[in-house]
Amino acid sequence: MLRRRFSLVWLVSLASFGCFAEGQAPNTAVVASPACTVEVPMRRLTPQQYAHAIGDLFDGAVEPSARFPEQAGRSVTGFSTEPGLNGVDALAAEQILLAAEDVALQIPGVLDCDDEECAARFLDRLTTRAFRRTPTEAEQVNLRKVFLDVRADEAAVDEATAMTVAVILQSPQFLYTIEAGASDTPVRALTSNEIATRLALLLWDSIPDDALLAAAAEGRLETSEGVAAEARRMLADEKAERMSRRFFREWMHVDALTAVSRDPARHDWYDAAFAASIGESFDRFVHRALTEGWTVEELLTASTAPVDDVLAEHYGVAAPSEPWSWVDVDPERAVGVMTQPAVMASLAHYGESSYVRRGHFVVSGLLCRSLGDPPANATQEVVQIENWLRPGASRRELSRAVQRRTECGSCHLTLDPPGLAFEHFDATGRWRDHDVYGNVIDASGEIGALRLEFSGARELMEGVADRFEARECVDRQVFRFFASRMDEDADRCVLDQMQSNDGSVRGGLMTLVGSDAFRYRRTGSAEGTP
Amino acid sequence: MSVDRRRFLVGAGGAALALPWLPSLRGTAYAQAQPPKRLAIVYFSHGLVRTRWAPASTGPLPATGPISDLLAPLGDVREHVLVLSGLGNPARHLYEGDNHDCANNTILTNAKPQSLALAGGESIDQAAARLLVGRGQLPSALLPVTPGRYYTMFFSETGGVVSPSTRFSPNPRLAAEGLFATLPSQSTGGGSRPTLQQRLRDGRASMLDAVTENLKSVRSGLSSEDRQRLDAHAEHLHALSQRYTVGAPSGGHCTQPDFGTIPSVDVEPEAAGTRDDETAPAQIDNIVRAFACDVTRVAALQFNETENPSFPWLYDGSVTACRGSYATWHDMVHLGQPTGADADTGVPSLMRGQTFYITQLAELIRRLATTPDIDGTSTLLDNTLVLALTDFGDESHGSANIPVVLAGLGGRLETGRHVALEGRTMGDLYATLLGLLGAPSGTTFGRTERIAWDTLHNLELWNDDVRPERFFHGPLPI
Repeated sequence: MLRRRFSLVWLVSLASFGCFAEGQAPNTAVVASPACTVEVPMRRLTPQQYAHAIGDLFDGAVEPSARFPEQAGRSVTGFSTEPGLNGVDALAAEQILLAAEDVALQIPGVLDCDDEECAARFLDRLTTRAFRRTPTEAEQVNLRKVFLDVRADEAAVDEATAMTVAVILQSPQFLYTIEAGASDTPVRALTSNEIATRLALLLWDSIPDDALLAAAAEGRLETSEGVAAEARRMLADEKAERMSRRFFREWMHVDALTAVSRDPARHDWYDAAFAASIGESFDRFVHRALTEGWTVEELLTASTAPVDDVLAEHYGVAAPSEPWSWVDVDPERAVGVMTQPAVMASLAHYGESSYVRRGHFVVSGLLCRSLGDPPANATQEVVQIENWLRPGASRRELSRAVQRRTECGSCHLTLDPPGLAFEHFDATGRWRDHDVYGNVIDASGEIGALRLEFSGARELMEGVADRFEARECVDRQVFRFFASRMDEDADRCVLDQMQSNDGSVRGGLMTLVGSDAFRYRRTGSAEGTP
Repeated sequence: MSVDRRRFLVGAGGAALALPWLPSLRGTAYAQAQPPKRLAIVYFSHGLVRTRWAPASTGPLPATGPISDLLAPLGDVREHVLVLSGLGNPARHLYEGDNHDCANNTILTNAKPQSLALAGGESIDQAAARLLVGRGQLPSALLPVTPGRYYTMFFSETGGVVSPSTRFSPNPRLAAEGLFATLPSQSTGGGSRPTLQQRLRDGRASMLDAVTENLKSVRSGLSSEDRQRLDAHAEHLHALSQRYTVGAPSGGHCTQPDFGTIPSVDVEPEAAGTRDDETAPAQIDNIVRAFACDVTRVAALQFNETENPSFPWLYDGSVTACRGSYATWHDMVHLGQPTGADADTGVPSLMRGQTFYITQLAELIRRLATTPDIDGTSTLLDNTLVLALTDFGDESHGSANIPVVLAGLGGRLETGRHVALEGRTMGDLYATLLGLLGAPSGTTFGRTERIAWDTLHNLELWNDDVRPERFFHGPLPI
């Protein structure tokens, strides 16, 4: 009796959300497979995406659990969405369970339901948002059984609801990007709901909201214009800050900044408040760069920065009346995103700047030149070389000695000069005229392989920004960010399309989401087919 | 016969038998089950005062009076105890580096460290776990007595710290909640209504099955690569569900303890070691319960405050009194020992603190000896091998003559004795222990080859005339 009544209620409530029920219509606008598609691996929500998704699912009324599995391993792209970092082993399976329980325990506090009908409406809406589509018949039966079994065990409505939520949040429909598409062919047209999920994970680092699911249901994501229109709405939403923050922080290695400590004997101003300020300045800088569509030249050479009292002192400018006002800084001391103190401090050591990390980032992160890993004995070698130098030798002297070693020189010849161009910025990103050993800093140099001569960070970055590779590299980073893997030769067609944009991160993103590759998926087994 | 045994236990053990989770002895299938073998490790740092721990002579332990100055607390359980002296840890010398890192990376692994942070292979508990784990148990459980600040000695096969799923909180109540999550809640049998938290815990197996059902429904549309990943996920769900289904093989006799009665002690890392008198007995209780309910078959009690344990409960609450004029306990270990300039003040303090560790070891042995095993006729100690050891053999952090105490395995280990084993190694010991736990004969553990002493590092820390010839010679004559 009870079961029967419930199943009816469940169906009634589904009808009330009929707008989503139509959302699974396949993308039928294009019948023939498009020529340019790419392979995108199935991804599991990252810990960040999970936290955002829980927040969005319950409109901020429920705290995400801290027990969701942490990332494990080293990212090849630098981005956190790589499948290898977000695997499910025995431990992760249990942590996902415990995290789901933590959320379930909060359900009675947010559920305003006395009867099963109301609970069914709640679960219906939640499942649709969590799965990013209307649940299938089989899924409904399965979840309904969980609810009723718990009810049969004399549980209250809110308790049965909570336990059903625990199942929903452990289900692969919630945890993974399931991109089965609308056909069983090697190149698959994604369903509108799958496209909506791609958009939300890319631009909001979370799952779709109701408006995005409605756009999918109404067929507005079936064309590249429709997807682009939705993307513009999403980039204007404040949730896009999650995306700019994650993309730029992961690209520029600005991670866990507050946990970084700096030798207090040399940098006594580096504390948690300083780290928080330079982190916020960075986030504001890159979010503006994203939303205003800064070109690569602007991104790499702008001499302005958002400043609070801490940053004002850091840059040696007058404190603004309004915190986080944008202030023009001496163009030698503010050279685009690179000299954002958060970047300089991240690309540094505990007690000293790191010309190797900085140079490596310019070459591999901004120019996308592959350098490979250093030889296993690199650290021992450099300690030995340092012992031969005079005490208090400058980093430039060390670099010269390292470059004289043939096995070291091949890479360091290219990566040291751009790193040494930033020697005026200490391990906290603060300007200095002398290094920690008292040597006068010489920030000039040249990169032979790029035929680039410069005196200081500004000339270097102007030269880099002028290179075709820098513009292309921005696109490649955006592509890796989206595809959760390194770009390969097979992805050339998409990268070529992205080249048509204005060289901005925003332009690259918009071209990408408007491409066929965004609405189709090539599966791995179909490699080589168009 | 079994009833006589039980009477004896009641007489010897007292209160332990009143524990509510223990099964009744009367005629259930469960009571006839064959108890599994188990391993319990007790680990503490900085050795024992070199001249004060070993019994004066080898052979049977004295029938009355203290076994030795430091092992006196073991007097009541002496018939269960086997004291081993003379064992060395040559693997420590395979790596050049800090004594503490090198000793801790090798003492339970008998392998060359990959780096100061990475051991050369798994620790003995992990090898034993593979040997002993049955269906549905947690392979091993590491129970720290206090937040770890410096070192670990428990490693997985890759040399990294053992899996977080087998490391428990130093807060005994949190540890119990994790450890006994798979047992049914006490209140589900009847009585008061279960809380949502209890429902979630008890419903884990069925929820996991529902998740698996959902997983199957998406599987069909995916590419083969994606399917493989989901299948791997499904396997882990299955194993987890099985663990929660099996719970304990007690047929429902083992229920979750009343978590509210287990001490909840949170210690800030800076205050590590200041409340061991509360946490150590409670973690011992967790180990005994875990064995009695067959939640795991390998457990380790780790006293992990190494730098500056302070034993304030022995000194009217003072956290500095135990180290006298020394800056830290660690300093006192180096200087306050028999050969040091300040031996008269340091040695009594060191012994007072170290006696606490031995007292806890005695408590674990006593509890295991007075708790019936799942067959209802034997005790947990009859089927459990206890291994107590420390990292160093002397005040210079030497690696020869490491104090080792074994206990248990009723009859399969000839206890009540002291055996001197100069020239033998931890590798010999671990191979012997694995054999006692049922490994095939010829099983070895870690390094086995001849020791090339001229290639080793920090040999001044050997501090002993007797040098082992190999990392492994064969099972010990014990």
